[in-house]
Amino acid sequence: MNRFEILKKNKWRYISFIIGFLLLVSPFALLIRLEFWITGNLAEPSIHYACLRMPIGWIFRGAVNYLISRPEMTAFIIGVLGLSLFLGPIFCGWLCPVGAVSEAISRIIPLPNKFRIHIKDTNITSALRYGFFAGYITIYILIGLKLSGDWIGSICCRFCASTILQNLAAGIFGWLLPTYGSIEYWGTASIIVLISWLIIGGIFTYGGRGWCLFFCPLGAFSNLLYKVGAKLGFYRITYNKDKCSHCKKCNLVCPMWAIKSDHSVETALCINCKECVNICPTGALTMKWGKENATK
Amino acid sequence: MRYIWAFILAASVAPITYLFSIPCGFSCAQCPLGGICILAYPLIFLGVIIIKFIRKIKSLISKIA
Repeated sequence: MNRFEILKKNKWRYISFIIGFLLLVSPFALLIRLEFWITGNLAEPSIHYACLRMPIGWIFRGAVNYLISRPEMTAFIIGVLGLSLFLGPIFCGWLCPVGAVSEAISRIIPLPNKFRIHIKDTNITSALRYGFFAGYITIYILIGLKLSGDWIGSICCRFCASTILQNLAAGIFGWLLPTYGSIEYWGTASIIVLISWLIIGGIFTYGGRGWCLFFCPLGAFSNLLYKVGAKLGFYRITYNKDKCSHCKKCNLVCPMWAIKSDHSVETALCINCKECVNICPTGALTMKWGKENATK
Repeated sequence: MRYIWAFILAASVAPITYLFSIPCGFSCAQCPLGGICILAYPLIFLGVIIIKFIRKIKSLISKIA
């Protein structure tokens, strides 16, 4: 199957990436705009209002009232995490504009795979991913408990790929909205993130999801819930070893390095993008509901 | 054991990065480096790619010779 056939088979996923961009990234930010319209918020909507760090910070700071006074942020986090439990991390695999941009760059730039980072041991990838997540949560808690000072909170935005995407979008589409002002978080740290997200994570990482794999806390949290949801029998990917022909096509198309050496799928990494399901010639990988035939 | 070390290594990255970036995060290009770090990362990667190519070229020459 060539590149164009893969694109054709997964066309709905790529269309939904564009929809995700329009829903979350300002000057469009249609979802956040709708939330603001319902809640009567007069602020300029942007992806900044879909933040994971701030709600966790509020909980640890004891400022739970913010969760009520900023319903758009609470609703977004609960929505994404709730979807991950019941349907898997479909936000990551189908809507997230940050992952979509780096994945697109990886496909557009034809760098030979030998120059790309690819860890084939899913246990090592998971250990690195969840190790970084643990460190990130530590920072959130420190900010929340005010052990590190309030000012460090704004530094988090400098390390946020979503903010960088928002600033890039403001540069390209800002003229559409005269009242729109970009979030001013450009600086050394932003450049480092831009390089890690698009150059290292996009071009020099197999599948183009380096940022999602190692640095995205929302992605790691979503996958933990997916792992729980899959064990409970919610919507998940399943592998039938009797049908598998060991052609390794799934391994080649998986952007999250989630295919194990026995060709089953690691739910701690999988984003339910269905690229492997669509390319599998024997139907060994399928999506299922229910407790029987639990994910291996 | 490899997995535990990988986890510990990754867990320490975020807190250490924050500590190092506090001074420069607020004053880009105000430091003595004058924003050279913007150029440093692409240069490092370019260097890695060039080294990889040189190795290939060297092995090709040795094969011919």
